[in-house]
Amino acid sequence: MSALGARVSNGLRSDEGREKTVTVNQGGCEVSADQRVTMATVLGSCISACVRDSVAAIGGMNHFLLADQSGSAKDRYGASARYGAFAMEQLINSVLSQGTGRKGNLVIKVFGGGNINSLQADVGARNVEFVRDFLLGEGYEIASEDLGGNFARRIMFKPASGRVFVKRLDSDAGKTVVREELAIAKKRVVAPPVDDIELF
Amino acid sequence: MPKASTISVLVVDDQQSMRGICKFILNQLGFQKITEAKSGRDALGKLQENKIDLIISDWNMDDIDGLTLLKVIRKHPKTKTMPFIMATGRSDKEQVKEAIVAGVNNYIIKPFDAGSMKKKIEAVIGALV
Repeated sequence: MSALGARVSNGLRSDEGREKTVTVNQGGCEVSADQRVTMATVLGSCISACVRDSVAAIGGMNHFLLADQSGSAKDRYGASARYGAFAMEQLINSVLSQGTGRKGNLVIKVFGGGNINSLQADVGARNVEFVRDFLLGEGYEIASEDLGGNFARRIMFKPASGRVFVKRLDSDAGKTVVREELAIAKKRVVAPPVDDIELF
Repeated sequence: MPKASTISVLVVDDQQSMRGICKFILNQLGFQKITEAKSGRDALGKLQENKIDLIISDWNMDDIDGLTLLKVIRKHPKTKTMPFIMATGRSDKEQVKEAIVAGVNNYIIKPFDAGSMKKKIEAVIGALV
């Protein structure tokens, strides 16, 4: 298990020679260099970053939601924003450590942040703002994006090639996705992982 | 008992957001003297320029990683006993053991909060006031 309780794998979980779809659930993070792997997820207000080392041909996807971000300066480092920052760092570091280790080789694409239910606060917009600010602050360029809007998305990412396919979903499907996302996010506050080695 | 406001902490992380989070949490715990280093190499420079009482360093960094930084610090007579906490997303026991062998005083797994940070710091330098 990773620091965020997410699985970071080499993606080599497919049968020999067969295409394999790896679902990246909310809070998840997957990394693979396997040409047979497609990473897939469905995003309402959530964000997924697809990060690929273009030289090592290895890539990964995460999936997170900052549900309680208020937008105040104090909350820049609040629990919700910290969760997003750790989710991004986890993905970037996993790709770097399994790839060339050079930040300049990373190609970053970001998706999601939809505002599906107009009666609710625009959680998606805050998530879009977060991921843009995070990448700008860390000196990364966004190579490609499909962010915001009033629809949910299905994202499919081929980590070995870096190609991403986006399908926009109808509003009924989107509302269901957002309800589920918020329910998960409310349970997922930043909780320090339990140490299994104590040092004194 | 050490007073947090008098302790100089060097925060080493190549990600600006992580340095910001760490600094925010240290401020919550009463620490006021916080120096930031954006790489292992930068940390070595900051150690020469500043009086540092405690190092909190990331593991994964571009030039000199946290483990290498720790090893360099442990070799230098002036810094060989300096309290060093490794902040890492790697919960792998083998990597933690590697840091222990290199002389780390404690480690903290991301994501962390003020409570877990306080516990780790106090385990290294004693209860804070």
